[in-house]
Amino acid sequence: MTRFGQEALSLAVILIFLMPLVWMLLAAFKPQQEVFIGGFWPSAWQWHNLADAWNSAPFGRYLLNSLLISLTTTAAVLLSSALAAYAFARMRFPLKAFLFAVALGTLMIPGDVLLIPNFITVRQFGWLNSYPALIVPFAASAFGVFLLRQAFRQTPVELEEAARLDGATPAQYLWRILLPINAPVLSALGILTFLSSWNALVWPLVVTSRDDFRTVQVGLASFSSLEGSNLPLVMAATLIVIAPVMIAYALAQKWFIESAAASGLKG
Amino acid sequence: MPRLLILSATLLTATLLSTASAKTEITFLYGLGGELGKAIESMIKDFNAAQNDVTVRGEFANTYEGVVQKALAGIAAGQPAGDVMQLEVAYVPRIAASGALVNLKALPGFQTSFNAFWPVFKTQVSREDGAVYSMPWNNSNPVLYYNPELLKKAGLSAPPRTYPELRVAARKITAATGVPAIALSSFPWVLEGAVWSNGGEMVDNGKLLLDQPAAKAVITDWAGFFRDGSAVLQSPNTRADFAAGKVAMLMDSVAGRPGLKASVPFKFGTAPLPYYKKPVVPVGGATLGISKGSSADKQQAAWTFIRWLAQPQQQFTWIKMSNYVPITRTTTNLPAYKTYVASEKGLEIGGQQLSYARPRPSTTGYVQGTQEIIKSLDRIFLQDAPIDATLSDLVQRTQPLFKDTK
Amino acid sequence: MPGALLELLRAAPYLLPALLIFVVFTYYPLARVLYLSLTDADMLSAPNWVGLANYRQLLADREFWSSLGITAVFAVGVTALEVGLGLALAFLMNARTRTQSLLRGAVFAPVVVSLAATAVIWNYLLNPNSGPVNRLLEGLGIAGPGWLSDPQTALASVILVAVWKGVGLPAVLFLAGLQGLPAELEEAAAIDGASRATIARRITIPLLAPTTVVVVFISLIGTFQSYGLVLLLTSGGPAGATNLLGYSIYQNAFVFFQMGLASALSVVLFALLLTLGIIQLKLAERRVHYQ
Repeated sequence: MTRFGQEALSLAVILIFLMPLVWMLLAAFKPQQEVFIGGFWPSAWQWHNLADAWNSAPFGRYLLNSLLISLTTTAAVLLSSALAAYAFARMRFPLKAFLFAVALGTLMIPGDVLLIPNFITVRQFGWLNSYPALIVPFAASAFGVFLLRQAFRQTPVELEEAARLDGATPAQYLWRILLPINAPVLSALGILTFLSSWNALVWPLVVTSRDDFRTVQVGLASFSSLEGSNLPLVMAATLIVIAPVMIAYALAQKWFIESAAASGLKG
Repeated sequence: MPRLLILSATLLTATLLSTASAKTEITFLYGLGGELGKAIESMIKDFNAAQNDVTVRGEFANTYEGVVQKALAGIAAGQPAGDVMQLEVAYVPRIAASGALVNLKALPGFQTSFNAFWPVFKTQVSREDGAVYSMPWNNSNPVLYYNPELLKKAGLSAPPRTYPELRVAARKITAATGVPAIALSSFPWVLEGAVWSNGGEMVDNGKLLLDQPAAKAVITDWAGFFRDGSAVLQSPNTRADFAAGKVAMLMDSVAGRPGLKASVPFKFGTAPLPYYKKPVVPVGGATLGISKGSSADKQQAAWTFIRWLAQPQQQFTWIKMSNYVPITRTTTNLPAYKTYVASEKGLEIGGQQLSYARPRPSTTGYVQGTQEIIKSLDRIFLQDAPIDATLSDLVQRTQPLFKDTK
Repeated sequence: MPGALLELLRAAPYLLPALLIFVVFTYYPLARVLYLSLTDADMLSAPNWVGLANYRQLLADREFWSSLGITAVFAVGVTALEVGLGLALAFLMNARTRTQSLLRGAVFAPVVVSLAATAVIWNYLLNPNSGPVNRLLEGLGIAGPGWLSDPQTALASVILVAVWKGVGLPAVLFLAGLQGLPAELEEAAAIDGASRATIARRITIPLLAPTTVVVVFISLIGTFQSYGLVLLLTSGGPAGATNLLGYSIYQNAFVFFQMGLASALSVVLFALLLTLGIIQLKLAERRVHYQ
């Protein structure tokens, strides 16, 4: 392909991937009667749509909840995955293959199959309308265990031998050497976990019935109700919901992409 | 009635206790968003300001389906999802059968409240065994919304009154304007009215009756609109299409009016629902039930709230915001109501249609049956599936769902 | 064997946090679902044991078979497109263009957007009469399709949305794979006179095989579980054209209250994923050994 062809194709691809977001952004600031019949730009920018959407639901609280839940979940996943991955990659113990299969097996069980029984479990724990209900069931990830195990296995074994000669315990080796060396994979897992936690919808909807514990995605779902929908307001709410992550992404795009990419390198 | 006495006494004690201590807080789980959701929150605010015993907290469950899901999850968890729940009429039998709803008949002042309702709403909430598990609240019926400009382009000065007229008008409109004349729905609400108006029935004798001549004729007629390109299938996009002048008419709830007014840039017309042999409209909407799992004082508070909502003044306030129809005669007879509906052409139709309204079928099997009907009608309308075979297959497939229906 | 027991005890603190959560929130509920699939549970009354009746009902139901077919088309379609387009995009993202950074950012951006937001946005964009996409096509003189509202195009539309949202991940995975390849190989081939297309086909793509296995794995598992789009965009319609198995489970459980039947469907979905997963895993192990 020629140089010019590549440039043109790149521009076309950029347009295809970004246009939906641009359209959403513009619709968020259009007068309601203009979304389907007006021109490309709003005839008059309705900045108040954003404030109206913000005021129609406690979005501040939702954002705070989402942030808290996603960060805690991510930290928990990193910790539990690193520990288990280390055991699977570097330790000898009976039933290892079986236990690894037990961990990986969870990848093939659709979460939504488990919705009702998990709801009952969480209720039995007295966790309805609380943060633990939104965090604990997701505090471990088979994908994380798999990913980190692959990474740990590819870390030169000599490092561990050297550390042991220096008198380090396995836990010290894991904490001081293995994890820092594999920081790219950890950050990849962290980003992916954060995103999936931030974007989760069905579970938060089921286990929370009070605004105090609801997440932004649930807040958005409340807006897209069909009856008498006010599209610009819905788009404004969408903007509010995706803005924090999109801004972070715009600022640290390279880190996001490289993190995601690291998850495949070790496959 | 000793039971009634004991209950009243308990409730009285509960009331006394609750007034002695703090306010009773109850949750109201509802399923309407947009303009109607705002109207509900406004009613809750009014109620909380109007008295000192009860605080209602509204909780939005996205859709009627969402209310049911939360209700069921609550039953499974042994903890009611809401003290008052807004239940679409077709869902009530399923939830009532689980024993999760209070039989309202035993509550103080029930009969007085109940007697005030229009007969069609009394029928709607009365079960075969005489129990009443929910009270009417937001009820509506469908009307024909039209775009006068597009009708004028086709040389029509008035909207069609019957389906045969609609058929002729639709062809003219599509020929003259190039846009589909009408949006028809696979969701069997407007269809129920059409079938009844053609002398047919939806459910009887333990099965669907859509393969019977009266119903089949309606479906064949509707399929004709699609075959000649004058109809599109109603979808969540339809209101936006109507606003953009991309479809000339739609049949939708009277309560869709506030939403349409907010988004349609032209002055749209409203007409009574078209019919076949005689005018019949289906009643739709939701009723209010009280969770049995709630404590006695919460049940009492819920009952207070429900009865407050049914009072004429509250009804009228609600109707002005939502455009639902009055559920009690007293509301219909309010001078203020009469002035209000006279203030804008089209507002009066929902109330007028009540005289020939019928409640929707509400057997336990109709929830799932509805999904099967939608699928079959989609196939007939959109994929030219053979009508006879598709309908008899539908009736056969759904028979197990209706085996308990008389 | 005390030695083995000691080893197990030593590994336990490392394994327990993750395994405990897997057991409590995945395996225990899975067992509960297996049990429910053998009952007539409806969440409203106490469940009765019905044996294999739910499974018999499924096997005799043509909706089930059609749903299975739709799920297969969706999963294969999304996976094939994500792998194919992901690879093509990776080559483009690896080329030294002036917009390289913006291109990478744009392709990956939808991955960051939530499912709820994606559905809300595309529901607006794909409005058949007045949505921006069809108005754009109209401007180009093309009559736009009915997208989500037409049974012929609904499934394809959902696949399209899923790929828009999902392809960024495979693309950056392939990009990383490309960047990780030794440059000498390609240089040597170029010196030998091989064309760029030949290099890509004969050298680069085969070398990306380990990445491809990972990408297929992630895509496939993801699509089987991603009925969220269908839930928010089409509710399985029109005419059942987008009735994915996952959605069918949701509908039977939460709309029809047939928890027993929904559980049986879940078990079927689980069995399918398990089979696919095992095949993938075997392939992955083999590929890794090649390296």
